[in-house]
Amino acid sequence: MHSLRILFNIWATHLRRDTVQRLTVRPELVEGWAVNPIMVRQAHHLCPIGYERLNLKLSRLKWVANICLMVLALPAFADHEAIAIVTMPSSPLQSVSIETLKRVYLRKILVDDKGKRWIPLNLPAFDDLRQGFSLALFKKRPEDQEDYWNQQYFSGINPPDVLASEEAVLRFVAMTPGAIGYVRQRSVDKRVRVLKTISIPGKH
Amino acid sequence: MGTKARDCASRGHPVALIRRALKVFAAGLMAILAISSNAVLAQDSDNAYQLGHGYKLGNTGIHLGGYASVHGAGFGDAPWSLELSDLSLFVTWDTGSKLRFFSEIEIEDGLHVGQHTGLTTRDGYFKLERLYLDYLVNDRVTVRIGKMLTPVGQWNLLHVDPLLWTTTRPVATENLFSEHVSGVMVHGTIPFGDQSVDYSVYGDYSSTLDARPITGVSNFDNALGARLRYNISDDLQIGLSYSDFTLQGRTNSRSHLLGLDGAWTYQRFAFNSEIVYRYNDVEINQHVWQGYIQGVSALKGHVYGVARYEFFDQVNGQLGQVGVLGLAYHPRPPLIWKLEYRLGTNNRYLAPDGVFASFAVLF
Repeated sequence: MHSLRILFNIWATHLRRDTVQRLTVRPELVEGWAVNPIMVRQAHHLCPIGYERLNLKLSRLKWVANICLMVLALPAFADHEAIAIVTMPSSPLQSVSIETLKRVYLRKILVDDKGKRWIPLNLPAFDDLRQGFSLALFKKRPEDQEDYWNQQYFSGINPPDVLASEEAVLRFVAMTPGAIGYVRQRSVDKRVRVLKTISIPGKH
Repeated sequence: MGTKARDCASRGHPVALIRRALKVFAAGLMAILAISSNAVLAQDSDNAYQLGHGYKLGNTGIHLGGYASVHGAGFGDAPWSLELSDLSLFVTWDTGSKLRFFSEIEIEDGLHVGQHTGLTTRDGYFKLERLYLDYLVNDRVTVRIGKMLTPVGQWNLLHVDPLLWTTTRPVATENLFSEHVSGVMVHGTIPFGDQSVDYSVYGDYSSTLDARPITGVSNFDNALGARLRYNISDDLQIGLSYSDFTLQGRTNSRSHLLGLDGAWTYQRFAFNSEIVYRYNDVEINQHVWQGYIQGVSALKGHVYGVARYEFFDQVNGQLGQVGVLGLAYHPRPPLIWKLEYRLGTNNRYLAPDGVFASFAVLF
């Protein structure tokens, strides 16, 4: 599944404007905001097949990815039962409110009540889980928040860093004090603590 | 170039050096604009840099960005002109500790061509727009030290061209107070029910970082003020601002300014308005009111229509009024093209009639 997901990601970054399961995928959003190179490296290590090792021509990848997309997209959307908000197990936090979560992800608050920095994490903008999370929390898709982030950028505030996959989020959160991320409920394991579970609007 | 200027250049005079630097920056701006246009057309999929997102320098915690804008004006009382209005560089430093740094340095009017002036860089100058250090105390309190934008209304806090719908700026957002504060500010966000209140309290005690005023309004000599913004919902906000200040060069009088502002977004419509009142017991016109209301509507695709009404009391006692009608083409969040017509009464000095156009890009 990881390999197929990578193929889909590569294909998706070459989209100009396409529609996948009623989602408008825009190239500038697919590419996402700046990602910390360390995170990228960590994310790449998580993949059984890296970009370098694939060594295939893009045209062939696109053809394969088109088929993969048809296989992957439908079930991926159908099993969005819930989203778990996770942090590291040793965190003093036991739960988080929706209002606090919104402010953390809008980067209106940068530290918690103890003065420790929040490190909110996002998945890529085209990821169906990211889309669902954004709809659940803000009632807006990521692309509808571009103007907000441009305003924040003017004030020197950048959006949350982006990691490539749920596994990357789990690993990063497990190792990093202050990190907070989201994964599917069924992806949660003992490496992280669940602070809250939220449902995607219009789903279960 | 005149004889005097040639002499200056040949001797390595600072003025000549500054002019040369401005020319280099002007050329840089042209290159940025060209690259920006190509980026839009090519939809480059390179992850290293994206237009409007700035550039992160590895793991240093340093993030570079900025914006540029070109302004044109004509068909009014003043001669026509075209200028590279702003070339601005943002530097953010944030390593995840409790300290954050931000600065904005810009070149204003770096290149100018006009009906009577020809092509010149003579009017350009460097300006330290913002420079501050934030200390994050906790989730509700941040202490800021340095030079920052004065928190009066919404416009002054977001006054860069790529984030605005019109080339011209409402008089009420710049005429009665200094755009900058040099001193200390405490600010943050407090939960309020399901929503939140943003607050800031500031004191201006220094002129160390002040630049020369460009709007005709002096910098603060000293000031004490506060602002509250209540986020009623994600689409509706109201704000209240107060400032008690003395302007440089007018230290014999103290002003009290009160401002009220609101912003509402509904589907593809956006409205915002600000009203400011200033009282000064020494000046001839003791009570001064200024304000505007602006509406923006999506017309088709990325084309937006803009309408604005402004009123403003003036020192001569006359009430000025203007209306602005314009179009904006906003193909992507970091890019905007604008064209507008402004017409009014008693507006010759603060907001003259004419056609105004601009292009702005965040990079």
